[in-house]
Amino acid sequence: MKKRILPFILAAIFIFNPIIAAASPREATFNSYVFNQHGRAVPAPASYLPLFARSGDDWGIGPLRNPSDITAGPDGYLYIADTGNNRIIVLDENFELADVIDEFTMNNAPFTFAHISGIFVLPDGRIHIADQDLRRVVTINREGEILMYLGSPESELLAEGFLFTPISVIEDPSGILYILSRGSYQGALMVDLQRDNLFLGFFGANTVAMSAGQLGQILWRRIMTREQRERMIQIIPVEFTNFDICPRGFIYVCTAFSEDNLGQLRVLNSNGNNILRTPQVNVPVNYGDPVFYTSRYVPVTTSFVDITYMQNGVFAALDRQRGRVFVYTNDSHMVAVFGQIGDQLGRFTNPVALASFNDTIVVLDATRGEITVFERTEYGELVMRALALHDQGRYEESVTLWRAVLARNINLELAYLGIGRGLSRSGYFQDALWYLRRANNRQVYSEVFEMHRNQFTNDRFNLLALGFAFVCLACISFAQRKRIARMVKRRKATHVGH
Amino acid sequence: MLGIKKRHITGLFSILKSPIEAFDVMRHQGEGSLALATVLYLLFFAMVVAGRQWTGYLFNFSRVEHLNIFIMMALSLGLVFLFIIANMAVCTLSDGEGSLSDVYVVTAYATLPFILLSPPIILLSNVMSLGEGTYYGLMTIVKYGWFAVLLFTGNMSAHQFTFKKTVFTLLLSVAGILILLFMMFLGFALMTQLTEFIRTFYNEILFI
Repeated sequence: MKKRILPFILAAIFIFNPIIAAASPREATFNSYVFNQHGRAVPAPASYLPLFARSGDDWGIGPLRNPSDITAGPDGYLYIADTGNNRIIVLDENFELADVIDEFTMNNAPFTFAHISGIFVLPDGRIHIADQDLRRVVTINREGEILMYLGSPESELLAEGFLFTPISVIEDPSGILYILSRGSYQGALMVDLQRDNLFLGFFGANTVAMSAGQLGQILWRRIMTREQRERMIQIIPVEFTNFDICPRGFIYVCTAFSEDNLGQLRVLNSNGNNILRTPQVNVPVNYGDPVFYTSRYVPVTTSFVDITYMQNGVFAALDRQRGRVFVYTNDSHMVAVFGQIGDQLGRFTNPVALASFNDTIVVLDATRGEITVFERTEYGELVMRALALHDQGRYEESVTLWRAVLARNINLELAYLGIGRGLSRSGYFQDALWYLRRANNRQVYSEVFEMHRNQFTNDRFNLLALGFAFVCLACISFAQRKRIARMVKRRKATHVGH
Repeated sequence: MLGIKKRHITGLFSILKSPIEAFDVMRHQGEGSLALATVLYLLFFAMVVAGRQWTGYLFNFSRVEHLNIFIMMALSLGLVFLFIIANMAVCTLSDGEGSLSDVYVVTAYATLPFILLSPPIILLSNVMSLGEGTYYGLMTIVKYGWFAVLLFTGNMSAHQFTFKKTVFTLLLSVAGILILLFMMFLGFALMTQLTEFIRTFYNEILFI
C-alpha cells in the first residue's frame, strides 16, 4: 500500500511544485550573503528581489540594441542610452515609457550619434552625452537640440597621441564637467564649463599598488640605459571604469581590476582624495567577492563596471564578472548582494550599468536589451532605515531597528556595531562591549572600553582605594616582617618583665 | 621534591639579577636541576597557551574558540626542543663544552622572565585600551627581549664561548632548525611513499 502511494506523492510534488513556487510573490534566483569577520561568506536574507524585467517591446518601441548606460535623472525620470538605436529612452516612475529622444538637431540640421556610451542628466533637463566614436561630449535638451559640442581639450598636460574617447561624463554642482576617457590612467578629465571649457587637469587617478615585482623592476630600471628603459613597459595605475556623483558633490568611482584586489571602490572629494572609510582604520578593503582561483590557477576577480549613489551614504556597484550588485555603506560595510549570471528573472547575461531609482535598483543588460527592476525586501528596508539613523549619528534610536535586523540576520556585523554604539550612547557599556566584540570593531570597542573602565573605577572608588591601601600595607609589613617580629618580641619581653 | 633543592631555586632567581655570573656559577657548581628545567618548560608552555587564550580582546588576534593544543605545543615546546638539538649539534662541532643536559637546563632557565612577565601582561591587556597599546607592546618586547638575552648568555656560558662565537653558533642553530624541519618533512614524505608502496605491493600480491 505504502509503496503505491509514494510515487503519486512524489509526482504530485513535482507537478505542483512550479505552481507553489509561482504562487509565492517573488523569489530570489541568486544567493544572498554577507562576509563574516574571517572573510567567509555566510548566508543572509535577500535584501533585494527582482520585481520585473522590461525590454523595448514592452514599451512598443522595438528592442533595445546594445544599450550602454542607465541613469536616474533629478527630475524623477529614468534615462536609458539605447546605443545601437541611437536614441535615449525616458521612463517614468512606473517604468512606463514617457518619452523617446531620437531626433537630434544641431543648428537646425539633423544629427546622429556614433556610439553613445554614457549619459548624465542635469536638474534643468539638459543631458550630457559621451560619444566614444565621435570623440565628443555633447549636451542636448529634452527636444534633442544640441547645446554644446565639446571635443578633446587642448593642453600640454595631455600626453602626445592622447585619444579622447569619452565613455562616461558627470557634472558637479559648481559646473565642472568630469569626463572619463577610455584608457586614461591619469584619471578623469576636468573641464570648467563656467570658464569657457577650460581644461583643469586630471582627477582621481588610481594609485599604483606596490608589489615586490614592481619594486624589483624599479631597482632594475636604475641600472639600465635610457634606450632599454624606454622599451620597457611603464608602471602605470589602472584606469577606473565608471563614476557617479552624489547630491553633496562627492564622486563615487569604481575600478574594474586592481592588482592587489583592494580598494576598487572609492569616494572622492573635490580634491580627488579618497574619503571612503574602512571598518578597520587604514586597512584597505577588498570590495566585491574575494579572488577565486580556477583549477588552472586562473584568478577570477570582481570586475566593477558601474557604481551608483543611493542614499544615506549607501552606494551600489555592479560586478560584470559574476553579475552581482554589491551594496556598501560609507564605512565600506557590505550590506547586501544580489543578482547573478543566468537566464531567470533577477539574473543577467551581460550587465553593463545600474541606477538607483526611487528605492529600487535598476540593472541594464546590454545583450538582452532589457532592464531588471529590484525592489527592497522587508529585511532590506529595515537595514536601510537603520542605516539612515546610523548615518545621522542617531545611534540610540537605531538600536530597535538593528535588533530587528539581527533577528533576521545574525551574521550582520554592522547590526552589532549599530547596537553597540547605541547602547554605549545610552550608558550601557557592558552590554555595548558584548555587541562591539561581535561587530569585530576594535577601534570603537576600545573607546567604549575606556568609558566603561572609567565608570567602573568611579563607581567603586572607595573600595578600590581601600583595597590598594591594604595591599600596600601588606607588602610593606611583609618586607619588614623581621623588624615587626623583633618589635613584637621586645614588647612581649617588656610585658614579661613587668 | 623531585630533587629540586632550595639552592636550585635561589640559583634560578639569581639569573634575573646578573645572568652571566649566575650562569657561570651554576655551571661550575653544577647547580642546574633537570627536574626544575622540566617544570620551567611546562610553565613556559602554560604561559604561551594562557597568552593565546586570555590576552584581552583588544590585543588578541587569535581565534580563541579554535584552540589546537598540539599545534600550540609544536609551536612553543617543539620549537624550543628543535633549537636545543640544533644548538647541540652545531656546538659539538665547534668545540662547545656544554652537554645536552647543560643546554636543556640553560634554555629552560632562560624562559624564566617569559614565565614571570606573562601573567601581569595578560592581566594588564584585559584592562588596557588601544590608546595604551604602546605600553603593552613595550612590555611584550621586554618579555621577549629578556628571554633572548638570557638564551644568549646562557648558551655562551654553557659552551664557554666568546661573544662572537656565540652569535655565530646561534645563527647556525637557526639554520640547523630549518634543516631539521626540512629533514622531518622529507622523512615524512618518504614514509608516506613507503607505506603507499607496501600497500600497493600487498594489493598486487593479493590478486595474483
